[in-house]
Amino acid sequence: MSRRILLIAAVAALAALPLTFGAFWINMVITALIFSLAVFSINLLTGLTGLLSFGQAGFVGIGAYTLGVMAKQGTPPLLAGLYGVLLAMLCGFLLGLPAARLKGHYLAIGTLGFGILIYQLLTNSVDITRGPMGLIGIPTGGIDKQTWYLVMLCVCLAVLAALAYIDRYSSLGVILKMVRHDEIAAQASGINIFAVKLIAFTVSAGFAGLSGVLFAAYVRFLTPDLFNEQESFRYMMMAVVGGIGSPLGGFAASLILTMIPEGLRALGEDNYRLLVYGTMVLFVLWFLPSGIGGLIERQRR
Amino acid sequence: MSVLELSGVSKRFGGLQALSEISLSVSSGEVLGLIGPNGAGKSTLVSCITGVLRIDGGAIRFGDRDIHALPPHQRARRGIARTFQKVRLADQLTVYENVAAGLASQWFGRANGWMIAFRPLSAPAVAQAVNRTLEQVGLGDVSGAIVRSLPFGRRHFVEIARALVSEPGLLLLDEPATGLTERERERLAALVKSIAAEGCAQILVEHDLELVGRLCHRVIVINQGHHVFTGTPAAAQTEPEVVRAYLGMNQLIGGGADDARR
Amino acid sequence: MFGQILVNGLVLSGGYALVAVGLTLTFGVMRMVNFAEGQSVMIGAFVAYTAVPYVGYVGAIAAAMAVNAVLGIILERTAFRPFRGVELNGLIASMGMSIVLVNLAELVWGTTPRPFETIYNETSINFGTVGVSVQRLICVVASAAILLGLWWLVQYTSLGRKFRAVSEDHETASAMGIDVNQVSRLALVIGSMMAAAAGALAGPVNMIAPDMGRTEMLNAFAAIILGGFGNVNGTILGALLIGMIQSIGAVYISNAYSTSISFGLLVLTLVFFPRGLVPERVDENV
Repeated sequence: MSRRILLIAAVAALAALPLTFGAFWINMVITALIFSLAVFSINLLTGLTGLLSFGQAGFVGIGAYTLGVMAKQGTPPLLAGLYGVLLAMLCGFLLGLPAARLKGHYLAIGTLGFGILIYQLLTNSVDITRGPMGLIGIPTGGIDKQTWYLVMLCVCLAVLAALAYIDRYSSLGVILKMVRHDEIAAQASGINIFAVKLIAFTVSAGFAGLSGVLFAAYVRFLTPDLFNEQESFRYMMMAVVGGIGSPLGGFAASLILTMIPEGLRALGEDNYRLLVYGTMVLFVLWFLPSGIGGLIERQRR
Repeated sequence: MSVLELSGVSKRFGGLQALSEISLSVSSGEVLGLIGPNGAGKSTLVSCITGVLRIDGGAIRFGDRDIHALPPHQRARRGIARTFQKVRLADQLTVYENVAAGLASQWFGRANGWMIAFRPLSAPAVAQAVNRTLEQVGLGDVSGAIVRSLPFGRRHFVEIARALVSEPGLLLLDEPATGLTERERERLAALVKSIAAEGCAQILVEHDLELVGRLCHRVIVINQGHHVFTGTPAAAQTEPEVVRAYLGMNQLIGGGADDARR
Repeated sequence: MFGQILVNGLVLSGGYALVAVGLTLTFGVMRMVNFAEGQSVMIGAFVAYTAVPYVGYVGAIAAAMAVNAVLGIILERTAFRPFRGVELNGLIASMGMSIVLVNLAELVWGTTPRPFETIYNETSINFGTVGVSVQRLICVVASAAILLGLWWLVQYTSLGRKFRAVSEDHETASAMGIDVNQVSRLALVIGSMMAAAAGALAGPVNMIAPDMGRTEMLNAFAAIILGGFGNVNGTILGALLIGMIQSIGAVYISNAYSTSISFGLLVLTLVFFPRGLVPERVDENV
């Protein structure tokens, strides 16, 4: 019972945060929350089902550009956003068809290749996406930061709750873990591992697409560089720092790994910021191999 | 009534003929022993039955259906369950969770299987089946324990529970007695008998020939992929082909009692 | 035209092969992909660039390889050994290292690409109608020589035998008395040195910049998929194929899409050959 009260208190505190923070930090937090959706997609795909993907940024990009392009052409943003998520899921399905048969490092590099292809497509289809010149002025303004913050918080908490439920309490979670842990035993128990993997790819791409849609709606300016393989790596790093199987850890890692380096912009040099980023990743891996999520688990016991 | 029927099953790996023209049948409530020296092809045969390997020749019928083209998960959903020589459990999950995974065969047999899978693990439908099976297998006291913390012998039973929970028509046990204590061996024997009493057909792959002699109604002996003998365990002991197959290996029937007492 | 394509293809292939073989060697021994390998190429290029005024081109190549050997030891200690058994973390660690290296390089040398001048860039040799800069020739010849040397090392020396033993099975190898840590370290050292050579040789052909490692890596990955992880010979052939296809594609399709071509090829290959073109041994027994 006391844990429930703590949880409610924490959520209330989080909701009240914008009242205390300045504009710079709110922006930071909102961006971090948007990124955390992409991290959640990795928690689902890699943490729970055991499938590597180094191409998630591709799906984020699909969601983002679908919203951007369609909204600029006059489609109502909500509808465009829906299309973005659906298109991302379709692409996730298409990737899953071959990818569900791949193992280990072939899967890693196959998904990397897929992500790069998407990036190249986004860059080179200048007629649609305006390529490196950037897509400017997406018509989703008029919502103030406080509202954005609350919306993102709700979305993230909802996804967190859903993932936690699947992981800890549902029978589906056990099925996913069996697929991750031992495919032969899973098949012997009647699980169609190909179908499970395909669905994991599709749903995970949906989450990543949602992240892209919200990103485009919030930032209102896109370039393909925001969705290259470096970004895929960044999501992966956040996920591992957070603990690959822990969405809560991924949430925390997204906040930390977005805010601390940005806060260091004060140091001036871009490079110092990224140096710190890289070093932080290494430190967590050396000393906290199960990531932040592992730390949370240990506190729990 | 025959549950499983193999006719002339063959399997080759490249240049190696792993199985040649193997035929067998098991009926409900029967325990069929599958024995033979190391490398005889027992595990290959089991894999062919469960669908992990595709057969090159012959026919496999389960119930009234020809299943040779079905992938492993579909055969599992029709009621073929198995345990593994090297125990394959999710170490970091609890006994309950591992056994619950075995219910997947039942869930996905129906169109709304996915809906059922979203229910919590503690739902009555799941809990009833899992707890009932845990009791039957003798694991009721460790339902919440993490598999990694269990002694090796008990993990065999967790695997058996996982196979049993979906109420299969055929249960394949792949060397379940390996590494068991004397008491656990007795528990295993009693369990096999109770499973047979419920009408489930079983195929028991074992090196522990004393156990085989006690539990099996019939045995099939294979050596180097070839069928050597099918009949009662008693008849197998005196069959010259069988004795020859085992000659030179420290597992002569009757002398197997030493191996069993580990 | 054909000759030009051929030479360009060989130059590209040589570079990719050097990087890819280093990657495949590391993978075979450590079962982890070294995401920092691209940066090893970049560091090699920049060290050579910095050293040329002092020790000449050949000396610069040697200097680059020496520095990278040290880099290899550092990488093994920080990004690989701690993560043996938890391969995903190892991948991410090498990514983190990669970021650190790129940004360190940017701090030292700035972000703008710069030309790597050597005397060989000026002169050309003519083969019939095809004019080939000497630099490119050196690229191809030196790459081939290094690869040949490595092939000989893996096939015929005792070190090569150790590599192969550890690649097949860690536990058996250490049971046979092979120091797996030392072999891993050597794999990374050799891989980094080859990357240095790739950087120092190919650097003058185009410009060098701290983010040049990225594209090197991607193409090397494509080569490994085609050739098989851990398979040195296959990887070299894969690199050859990728280099040629990119060279042809740059002329007949478009330069911008050249990376797409290699990755399109890669994805297509994986669709039809989920285990790569050269399947690894299956060690799963049921």
